[in-house]
Amino acid sequence: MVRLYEYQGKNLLKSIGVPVPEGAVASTPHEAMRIAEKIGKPVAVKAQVLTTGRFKAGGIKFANSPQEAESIAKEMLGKEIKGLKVEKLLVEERLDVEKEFFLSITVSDSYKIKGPIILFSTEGGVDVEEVVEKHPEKVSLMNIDYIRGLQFSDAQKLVSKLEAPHDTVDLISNIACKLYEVFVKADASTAEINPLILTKDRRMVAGDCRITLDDNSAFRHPEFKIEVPRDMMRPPTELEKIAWRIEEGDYRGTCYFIQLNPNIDEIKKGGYIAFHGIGGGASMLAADALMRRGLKLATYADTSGNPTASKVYRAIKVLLSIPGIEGYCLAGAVMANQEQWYHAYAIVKALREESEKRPGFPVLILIAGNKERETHRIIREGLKDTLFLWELYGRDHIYDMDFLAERMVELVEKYRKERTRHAKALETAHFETSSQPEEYLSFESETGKLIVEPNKCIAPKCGFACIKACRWYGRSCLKIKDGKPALVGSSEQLKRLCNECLACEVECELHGSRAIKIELPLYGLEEFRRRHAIL
Amino acid sequence: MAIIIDEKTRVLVQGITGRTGEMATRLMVEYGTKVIAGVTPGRGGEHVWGVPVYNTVKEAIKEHGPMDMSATFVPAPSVKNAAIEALDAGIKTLVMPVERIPLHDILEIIARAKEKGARIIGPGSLGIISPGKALCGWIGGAKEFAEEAFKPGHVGVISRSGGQTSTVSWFICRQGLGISTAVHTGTEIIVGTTAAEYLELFEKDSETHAVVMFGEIGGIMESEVAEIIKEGRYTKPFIIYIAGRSLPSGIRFSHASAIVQRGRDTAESKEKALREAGAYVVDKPLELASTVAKVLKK
Repeated sequence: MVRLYEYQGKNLLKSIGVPVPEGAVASTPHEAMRIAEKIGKPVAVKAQVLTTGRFKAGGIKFANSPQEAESIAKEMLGKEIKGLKVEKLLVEERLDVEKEFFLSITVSDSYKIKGPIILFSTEGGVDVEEVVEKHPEKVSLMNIDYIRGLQFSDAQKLVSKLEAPHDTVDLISNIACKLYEVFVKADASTAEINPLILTKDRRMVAGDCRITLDDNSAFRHPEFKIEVPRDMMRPPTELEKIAWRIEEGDYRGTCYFIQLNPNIDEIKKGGYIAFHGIGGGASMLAADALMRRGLKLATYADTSGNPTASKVYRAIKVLLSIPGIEGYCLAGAVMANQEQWYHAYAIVKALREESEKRPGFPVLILIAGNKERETHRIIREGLKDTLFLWELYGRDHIYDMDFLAERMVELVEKYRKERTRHAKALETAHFETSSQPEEYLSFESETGKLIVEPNKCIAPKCGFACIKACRWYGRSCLKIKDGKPALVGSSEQLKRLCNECLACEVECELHGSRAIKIELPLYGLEEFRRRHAIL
Repeated sequence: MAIIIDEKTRVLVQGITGRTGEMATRLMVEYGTKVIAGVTPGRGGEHVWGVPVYNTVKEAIKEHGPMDMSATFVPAPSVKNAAIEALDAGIKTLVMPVERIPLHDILEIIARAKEKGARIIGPGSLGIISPGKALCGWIGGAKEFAEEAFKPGHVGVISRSGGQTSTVSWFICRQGLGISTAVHTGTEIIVGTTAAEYLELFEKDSETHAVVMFGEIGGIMESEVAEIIKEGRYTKPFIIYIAGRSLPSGIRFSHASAIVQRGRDTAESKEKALREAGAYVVDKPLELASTVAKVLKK
């Protein structure tokens, strides 16, 4: 749910003919003064932050002169209101209020409705939930048939159910219809005007506007410049922006990633782990238990809905890039329906890449369900020669959340005791950097690139592990030609065929060579890691 | 009996040649669901796991006769058109497994389904299974696993989490019981069929003796369940667990539906209403299975 700022919402309203107060947005005190000057009347200076109750929190102030507007702006800009930094102000004419109303359109998940509803109240300007609770007689509500839309006559019925002044019924009804138009056009989940102001000179003006957009529709609205369409009251962090790129445009399963603590300096102080669940229900169960046991979760991530291994791999890479975390927990508290070997290959590839740089780092994995035995085999073989402090659990522990939390705590404590020693060893360590291969075969998959270096290939000693893996977990993109792996078909065919299961690369490595490399770029992550000195 | 789907249900798969569509088709065919035909525009004439592919829903119906149900395995931005195509062709139940469908597309699909008297399962639903009979969607993931997690029996299962549908069912089966029908409601804020509606169907199903639900914070689905129990529209034993109790409010927890915002959507308020209505509210998910076993042995 992306919330629009008041000024953005008002721009939308204005664009379809709903009267809004005369005004503009200022980012500096000087701009605020100029706007007030242009308005030439007393103004309201309103902090643009995504929270309610701005007036009480000092986020709305009145000025009688442009100079006063400037000094208020000076004081307000850069200040925090309810923890949110003020970067923009809306300076607009101060209205002479005769009466305040409230209009809100939202969706109801009730089995009786399952569609949009519109609420009207003659008690505007206050929290409407309070009005609904204390004065239900002052609220009128109507379901909207999505196909029919909100007709003017419907709106009249809604408004005239309450005692609105006679000459205002049509004015309000008209605005209600326009608000519904905005709701549909913007793919909103909520569109609200509170207060809707009747001025002393009998104009009907939108005093404030709150619009919440639907996350899943962000791709249809480049005009809102949404960086990360996730439900957050704060701007997205750098890692959240990077993680969103994993999800954007790739509808093969889901990768959800948010930082429960956006402040990296806080995380660096210690006590945090990277949390990664499989499926919404499982993630909730596990996060709940870990938090109850006193662990601090830096993140809440979830990969489910049958994602590709490449998607899961990228999620893990982002999770392990959080500076200062003291452990990684993958909690699949679920008998998952998706074939879990894709998670397994993602885990193995990601963790093997990180292993040398993280001796003793705690990794706790709970994974169960469809293809559990093979999944565990892949993870066990993939992690057995790594330097992690790792533990793997399956179906016997799916609902054993307290046990899981206990194990995590113990692993983290052990890691803390050994960390100084590990850090010293790392100071003198050298890591191989990969060089450009001379001779290779390659093709682009949907989100990455596969590279085979035949001269590094040890076949048939490996038993053609890559080809077997591709046949079993992938979609037979590799074949044997002259005793070595070769590609099947044209690059277009391969792009469509490859399901990015990552099995060929991992199996090649586990069978003694590194002839296959799958590059899965994560835009901006390398730079982020360099800046935060993550090896 | 069982609800919504059984061995006679004739199923169409939209988006049958896609990655998940193909996987689900294999699962359904191997499990024994009557998958009659599939649709992918431009791929007519092909076969997927033995199922003939057509360019449009109309063509498929013309060739094979009416379908009872369609599973829409189409990328989220295209689901609306696929759903309308199926509804216009007279299909009365749509299982919509795809996540991240735009909200207003969902609203339109639901409104159109209502006009046509059709039922929508999901969006974002793993699907529905009547063990030993048939399944639709990709619930179970693979035949062996579907058979392991869902044994035939008399407990209805409703879950707001996809994976927990099979997890809860698996635990119930380990108690020596079985499942009449299990369904995942879906991941989005608004879903086509809510728990209250499934319960009314389970009430009428003589094979179902009790219903177990995996609930969540956010939304009012569980509160409405309490209402219909109070109104006497569902009278069999009902056992529920609500996940997400100690999570911070105001954040969407990967499911769009799990946002705690108002009074009626916290774990506490839901549990209170359900207890007052006479439901069994358990504190741990593990107790769902043991409680239903105890209740049914009484």
